[in-house]
Amino acid sequence: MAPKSRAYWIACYAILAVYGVFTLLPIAYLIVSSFKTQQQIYDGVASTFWFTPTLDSYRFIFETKPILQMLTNTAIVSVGSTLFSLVFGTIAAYGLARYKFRGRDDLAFYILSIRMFPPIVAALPIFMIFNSLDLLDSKIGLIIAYTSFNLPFVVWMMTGFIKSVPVQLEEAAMVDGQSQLGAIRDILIPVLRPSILAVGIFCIIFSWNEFLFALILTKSQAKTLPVAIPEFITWTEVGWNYVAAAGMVLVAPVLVFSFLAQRYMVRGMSMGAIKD
Amino acid sequence: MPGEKIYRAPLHRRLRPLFFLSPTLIILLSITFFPLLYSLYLASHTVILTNPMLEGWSLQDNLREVFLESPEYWDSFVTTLILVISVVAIEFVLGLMLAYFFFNSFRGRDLLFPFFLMPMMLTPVVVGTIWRFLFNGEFGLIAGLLKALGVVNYSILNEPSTALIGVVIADVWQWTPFMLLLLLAGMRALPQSPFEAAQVDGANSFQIFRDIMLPMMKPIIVIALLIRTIDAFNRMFDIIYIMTNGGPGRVTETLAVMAFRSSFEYFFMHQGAIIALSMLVLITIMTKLLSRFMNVQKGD
Repeated sequence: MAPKSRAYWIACYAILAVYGVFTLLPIAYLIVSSFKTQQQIYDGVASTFWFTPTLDSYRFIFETKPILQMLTNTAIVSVGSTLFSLVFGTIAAYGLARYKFRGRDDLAFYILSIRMFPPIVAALPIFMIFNSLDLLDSKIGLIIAYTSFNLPFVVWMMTGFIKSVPVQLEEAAMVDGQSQLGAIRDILIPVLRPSILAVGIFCIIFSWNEFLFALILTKSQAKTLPVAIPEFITWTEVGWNYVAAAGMVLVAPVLVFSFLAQRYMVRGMSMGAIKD
Repeated sequence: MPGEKIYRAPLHRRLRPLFFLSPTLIILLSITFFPLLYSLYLASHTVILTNPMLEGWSLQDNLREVFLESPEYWDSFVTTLILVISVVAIEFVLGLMLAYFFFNSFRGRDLLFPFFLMPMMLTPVVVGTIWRFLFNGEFGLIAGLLKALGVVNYSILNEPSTALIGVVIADVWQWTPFMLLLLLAGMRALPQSPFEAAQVDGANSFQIFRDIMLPMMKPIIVIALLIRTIDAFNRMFDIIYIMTNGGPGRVTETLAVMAFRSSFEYFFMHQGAIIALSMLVLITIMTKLLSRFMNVQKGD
């Protein structure tokens, strides 16, 4: 790269500093607010970051709402839908990546276009259908609903990843007497493991953060944590410390997880995006 | 060629891909195709959850109700358009600028990068609540700062003239990192030689950026804009539901919020279905146009 002028570096650091504050301040605000009492919320700007921390808000939300149950629901639904989508999606991606047949590109486009569905289009009729099938407020129902956006994503990403693995690897194994499924299991899947991991991480995060389906399709038994967040906001808006605490419980696992898995995610993302 | 014999694989081999694809196709058909058919049923009948007696064919009446009898649909249409265009434009410019800084490296880059990506991992509902409270006129941090400047108890989200800006800020905050990530990946994938050649020819950094880097990044730029446009159009529901629930009045009520409220606040399922289906038509037209544009780009 060409050497940069002094003005460039000044602009670079100034913009990064301003943007850095813009990006980190709301997260810091969430964290500190969750350790405050209701009184401390009103203490003014000067004491935003200067106060005696307390766990009262956390204690309150765990005592008044089934936070643990909702957290478990969120985890079960996310992992369930992700595993389900990974298995069937990878199999389908294999069919799209390794075979040429009439209408293949149309089919691939159809699968991808499902990902572009406005969720509300699917949510309304799914609500009515689940209502008559007695699937409302059930974890199974929610897993099925989440598959509608996870499965196309898996197929789309995995098709690209499988195409990037030379077919000769499997052919060599098959010449050596392996069956096709054996070659997939012993050769292809181990090579693809990091990609499958990256795609799975994204599916888990999409499902963990999902709101609209959960709002419409659950009531109490299968309710996930994102739906509970707005319930802490009362019309007087006094519950900010409780909302912040519930938000922290929801967000902390994803943040920790994404820091640990960042390497995979960035690679998965850039590979999938750069492909065609 | 007529008369020429083409080799055709035996049937069982030609059906092999179907074997891999059928589970996924069955699942996808049952969770998208059937609901879509059901949506058409909803849209063409009178389905009111609180009044199950009122059922019957009423497509024309429903269409007239939504599109002609009140300006609400078109207000939401314009709101959605304004929101999508402004967030995608702002996120693109910011994301490109940040990606360029990260591409050229600076002190502390690798330390800072994961923190800059954090917003896109957060649950949109939580993002919505954070900004709702930041903007709160009584105790919010931003209102507090405004107070120090002499503006008393100003709630950005409660004023019709600024509520939309509040929503835009929250969305930009959450999704600029996504633009940064994609565009940075695109920059890193570029071949080195054109840059070296331009440098030898004495081009300055800005010329290199404008005349070499941007044109070479066109495919990834189009993809990034496409993904963000579709997502902003489809998924701009959670943060609005939390921050304003479409208010004050209806100034932040996008089509998705309107479809939700018609169905689950007023229980007019048929109206919700028509609005949702109109979104599907709009997004299909938009992606068709954008992907045609993309193909034209590939063609040059």
